[in-house]
Amino acid sequence: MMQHSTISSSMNSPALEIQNLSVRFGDAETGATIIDDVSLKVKSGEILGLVGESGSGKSVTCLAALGLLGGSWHTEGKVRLQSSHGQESMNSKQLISVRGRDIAMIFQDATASLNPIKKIGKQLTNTVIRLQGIGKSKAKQVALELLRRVEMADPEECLHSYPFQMSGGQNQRVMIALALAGNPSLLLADEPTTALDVIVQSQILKLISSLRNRTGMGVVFVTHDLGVVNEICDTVAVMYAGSIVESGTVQQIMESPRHPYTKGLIDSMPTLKGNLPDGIEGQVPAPKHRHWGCAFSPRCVKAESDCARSKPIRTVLDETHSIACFHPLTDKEVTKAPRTKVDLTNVKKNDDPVPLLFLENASCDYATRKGKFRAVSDITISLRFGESLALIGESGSGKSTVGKLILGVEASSEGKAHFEGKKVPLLGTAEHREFARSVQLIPQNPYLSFDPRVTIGAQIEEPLDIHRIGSARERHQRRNELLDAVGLTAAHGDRYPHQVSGGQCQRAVIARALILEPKLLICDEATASLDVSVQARIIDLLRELQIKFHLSLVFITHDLRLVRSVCNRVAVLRSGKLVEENEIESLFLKPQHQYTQELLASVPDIPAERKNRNG
Amino acid sequence: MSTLENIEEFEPQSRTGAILYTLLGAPTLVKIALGWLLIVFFVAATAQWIIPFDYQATSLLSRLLPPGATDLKGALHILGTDHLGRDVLSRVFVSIQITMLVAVFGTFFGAFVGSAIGLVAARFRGIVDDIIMVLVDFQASLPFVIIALSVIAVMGTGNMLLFILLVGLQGWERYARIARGLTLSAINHGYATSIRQLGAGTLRVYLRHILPNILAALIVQVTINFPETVILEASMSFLGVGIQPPNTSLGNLLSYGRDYLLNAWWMAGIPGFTIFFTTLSMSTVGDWLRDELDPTTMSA
Repeated sequence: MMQHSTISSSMNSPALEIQNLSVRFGDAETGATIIDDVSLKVKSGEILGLVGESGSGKSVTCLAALGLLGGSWHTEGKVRLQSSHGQESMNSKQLISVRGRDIAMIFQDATASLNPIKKIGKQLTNTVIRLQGIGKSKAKQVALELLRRVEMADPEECLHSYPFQMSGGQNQRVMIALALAGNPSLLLADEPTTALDVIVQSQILKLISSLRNRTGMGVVFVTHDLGVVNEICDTVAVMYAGSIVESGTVQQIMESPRHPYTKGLIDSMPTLKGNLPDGIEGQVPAPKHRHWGCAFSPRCVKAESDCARSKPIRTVLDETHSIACFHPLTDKEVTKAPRTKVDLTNVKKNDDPVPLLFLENASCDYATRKGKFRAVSDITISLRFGESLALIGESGSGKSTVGKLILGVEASSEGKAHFEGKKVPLLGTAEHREFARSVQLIPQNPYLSFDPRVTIGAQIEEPLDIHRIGSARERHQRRNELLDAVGLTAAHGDRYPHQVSGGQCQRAVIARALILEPKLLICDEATASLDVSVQARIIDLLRELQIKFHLSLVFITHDLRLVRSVCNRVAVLRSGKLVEENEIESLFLKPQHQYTQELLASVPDIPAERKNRNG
Repeated sequence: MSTLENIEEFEPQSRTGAILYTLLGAPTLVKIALGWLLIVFFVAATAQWIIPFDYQATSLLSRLLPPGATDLKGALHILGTDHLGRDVLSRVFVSIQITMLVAVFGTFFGAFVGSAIGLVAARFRGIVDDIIMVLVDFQASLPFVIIALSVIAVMGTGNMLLFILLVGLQGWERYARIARGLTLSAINHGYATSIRQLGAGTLRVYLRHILPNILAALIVQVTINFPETVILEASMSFLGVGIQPPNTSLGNLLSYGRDYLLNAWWMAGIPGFTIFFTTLSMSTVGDWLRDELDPTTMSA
């Protein structure tokens, strides 16, 4: 049984101290250890970044700290919170009284975390009444004050709004206000900015950090984005497969990571500089299939035979920096220069006067109940064969609509959309069938774009069947060639989509798109749902295929860091309008439009000098 | 993504093995229901060979014999005889055969027609969809028995094929609704969009991809609809507009037995219980199947 206790308050006492926390799920036979002997300390006024790929146990650690794991979960170890109450072990009833007052949590999807049928004012006031035990009218005042504290633009208006009337960023502010209602000494933030656009993300990060300064609360910031960590965290704990593999100050972790996993994560991060991200081979093992000994050893570049024999014990490098690894990186390895910027000049270009893709003053309207809504207007883009274009913008900027215009899913209501000098036919027409061979889409979620009931291999072959290309044997052979080209094996072809990992599934989607030998590939946030370590490898693959198959890419994304290594041109969209279009280097070095400058400034980036001191 | 197992351990399982495994894990009640249905279907398939007596042979000297009695010739009537001295067991067996014939063909006919209408509505949308949905609402607000009775009143009784089609059509509007709703959500689901994007035609998208994905819900609807079809057949026959003598069905038997309820309970009781247990079993299995086929309740 886990002991929850509170620590008598004093200035230097930690806001949260976790000692030897282990969490098991399920019974002895079928269950598995999710969290294995984790110890953490968060001081008051400190922001701890908890990083790692999905499946490494970050969120479960937070839930255990809140005492929210019940049912089939078994926890062991100590969780101590700072509180004005004396030191005592707590039962579940006492834990409820602690939640919200001493410890509060905010989640990734704020809109989904709020009650959709109650006005924000009511949700906030109720929470204030419950946590502070004050009257209704006074609670309303407090609620308003809280909304002011989270810098809500129009707090009075917000009180009378429903969550669906607000944007994701505003809702996240409301969530933070809710979390602050009980004046907690510790805030758990589980990927609170992952679903937000860069500019909003940067505002929320600033807000969290300023609240920390004002209230002196401790913050545990769960994220997979090391750029964000670099931006706001003081200390970092890197988790892998349920254990903390390395922890230290943000400077120590970012500048001289000693664990190969930490280094791998850092190298996976795309940067504004356009370094080619490296990625980590393999995937996080399921809890039941963790490797005996060091769980990371099967994926580790430095693994030796002793790594598999026993579990590495946490060793202290200096006062703040500790690591669990038998073969930490040496100084030389730490500063190994990253792969340099990609040379896209060897991509075959031709001087055909007819551009591959040409949008001229193209606009697109959607019919809504209130009439027409213009999603994009007056877009002019021209792309030559072999060139690649990045479409950048926040959600709602119309970047996906531009993708739809190019794909023929939507028809332009004004202006032209031409591909190879001919009008882009609309999806469902006879001409579109032929056109589909030249332009293909890689969507965001690979699992959604495959039929769950058909094997991956059969779906990769299907386009050939649709277009009646080749005999059954030729199709099969072609499918295997493509599986190989995207880094999968023929055996993956016999699996169903749910039987492969996200990265593998995205590779299969790419293979299917390539089997018709298209000239243009539209990647609509193609890596947004993947872990950074996997994302880096998919980007790598796309770049490789770009050269191998003479592909043009249209790369639709909100993440500016991704595009510099893959594209030659960038178009920045805002509210359906093209605000800036330029060669990629010119745009990154000298952004002309104010909005582009703002976007670039908001990106949580790892500065090159930090990532690579000597490089 | 995070909870994905290591891919290496995924052995392609044989489908029959998986089904057998699911069956073994079913609750006892479901196993009993499945057992009963198995018996019913066996009887339906082999009735003409396993009946002990000619089901139409009357014998006025051995009228209304109770179950287990022997007649004058010394022949044992396990379930007794009816008011014309016909063997109830034989009649029940033959009735099961006809009732099942009507219910099985009727149900599948209805499922096919209803689902097809639903798919058409989802494919064409607009005015086609509107008209179909108005018909669906119209149908849903009118008891089907009334429609069936009026059709029979016009067309006359005794046409077996017409009767099967008529009884089968009962419930078409629910198939149409389910098929339409699921197709509409599936068509905007990624896989349908992707396959269209690859240049696939309508038939491929709807029949090869969407239909298999919505089939589970339709199968569950079949198991809900099937007992209703049995009951509709019985009701129509009970009212005398269904299966006509010399053919017989469970509803017919029930209708004759009504007059002798006090002095020969077995005449109505036995076909009544057969209907009761068969429909109950089908519903039980249907409920269980719905849970088994529902992906949201499936363990990861």
